[in-house]
Amino acid sequence: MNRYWKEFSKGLIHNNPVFVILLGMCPTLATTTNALNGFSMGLATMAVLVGSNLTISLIRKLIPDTIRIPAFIVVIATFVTTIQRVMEAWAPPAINESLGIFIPLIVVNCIILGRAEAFASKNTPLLSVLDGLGMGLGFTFALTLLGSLREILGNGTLFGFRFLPTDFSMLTFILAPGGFLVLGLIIAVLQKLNSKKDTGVSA
Amino acid sequence: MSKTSQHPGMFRLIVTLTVITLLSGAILGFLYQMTAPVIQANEETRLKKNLTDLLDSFDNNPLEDAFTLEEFPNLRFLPAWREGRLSALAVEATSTKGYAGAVTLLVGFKGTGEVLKVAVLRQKETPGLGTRMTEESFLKQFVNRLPDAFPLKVKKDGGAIDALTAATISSRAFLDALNLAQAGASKALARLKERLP
Repeated sequence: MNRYWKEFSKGLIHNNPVFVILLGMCPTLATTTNALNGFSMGLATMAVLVGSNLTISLIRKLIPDTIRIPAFIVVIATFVTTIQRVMEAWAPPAINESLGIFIPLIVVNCIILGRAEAFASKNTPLLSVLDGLGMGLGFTFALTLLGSLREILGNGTLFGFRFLPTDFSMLTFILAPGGFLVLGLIIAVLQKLNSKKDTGVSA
Repeated sequence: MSKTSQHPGMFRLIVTLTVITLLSGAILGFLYQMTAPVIQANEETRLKKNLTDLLDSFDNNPLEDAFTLEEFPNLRFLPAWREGRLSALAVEATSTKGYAGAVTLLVGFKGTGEVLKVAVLRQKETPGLGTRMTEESFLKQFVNRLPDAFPLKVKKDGGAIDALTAATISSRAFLDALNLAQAGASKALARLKERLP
C-alpha cells in the first residue's frame, strides 16, 4: 500500500511536473492567463496522462523496444484527439473557445511522453494509473495556482469573481512576461522552502 | 525479456505499428461519428445566438431561409425578415489568409447596405495578438460603415482601419473576409429588392 501512495503522491509537490521537473512549459505559460483556463487545461492533460499511462502499461510487453517511441506517440495522439473532440462536443463553449487551440499541444507536452517512457513502460497498469493521477493533479494544481495569481494581479478577479477594484489591474501579468515572472517567483519560493527543510544544504 | 523481442525482425515491427495505428484509427473514426452531430448542433446554436445579437428583431428563421449566390460560392446569406419586410441581412464569410488557418466572420448589414455589426465566428490566430480581433474595441470601428467606404484597408496599406498591434496579417485576413461579405451583400441586397413588391 505504501508503494501505491508513494507513486501517487510524488507528483503533487515533491516531484511536481511544473515547479520541480520543469516540463510542459509551453501549455503552462500559454494557458494560465486566468484560473479557470489553467484548471481546465490541467484536467484535460490529466485525462490524457491517465489514459496514455494505462494503455502503454497494458501493451508494454507487446511493443518491441526499437519502435516504442512511435507507438507511444500514436497512443498519446489518439487520447489527445479524443479529448479534443469530446471537449468540442460537450464542454462549455467559453472553455472550448479559449482552450481549443492549445489542446492539440498536449501531444507534445513532455510530461506525457516522459511518464510513458520513464514509468508506464516499466510498471504495472495500477501503478501507472496512480502515477498519471498524481502527476496530473500536480500539473493541475500548478496551472491553477499560476492562473489564479496571474488573474488576481492582472485583472483583479479570481475564477471570474471580482474582489479587487476595477482599476487595480496590471495587464503585464496576463501577458507572457507576467507568466514568466509569476512562475519564476513560485519556483523561487518553493526552492526556499525546500532548502530550509534539507538541513546542511546552504542556499 | 526474450532474445526475439530484443532483436525482433522487421516484420514484427511493421505488424506491431500497423496494428496500433489501425486500432487508433478505428477508435477515432468511431468517436468522430459519435461527436459530429453534437458539434454541428453546437455550431448552429452559436450561429443563432450571434444572429440574434447581430440583427434587429426578426420573425423568420434566417438559417432556414439561407441562400447562396453563384458569383460568391464561399458566402452564405442569412436574411432577416419582419412582417414580410427585409430588416437586415447577415453574411457568413471566410478568409483563408489568416495567420493560422481560416477566419470566419458573420457580418450584419442593414437594408441600405450599411454595416450593422461584425462578429467573429471562427479563428485560430495567435492568442493575445490576432485573437484580439474578437474584442469590442477592434470590432466597433466597423459599425455603421457605409457601402462606399469599401473595400476597407489597414492604415499600413493606405486605408483607414486601425490594425491590431503586431497582428497585421490577422487584421488583413479579417478585412479580406469583411470586404468579401460586403461585396456579396450589395449584390444580394440588390437581388432581394428586385423581388420585393
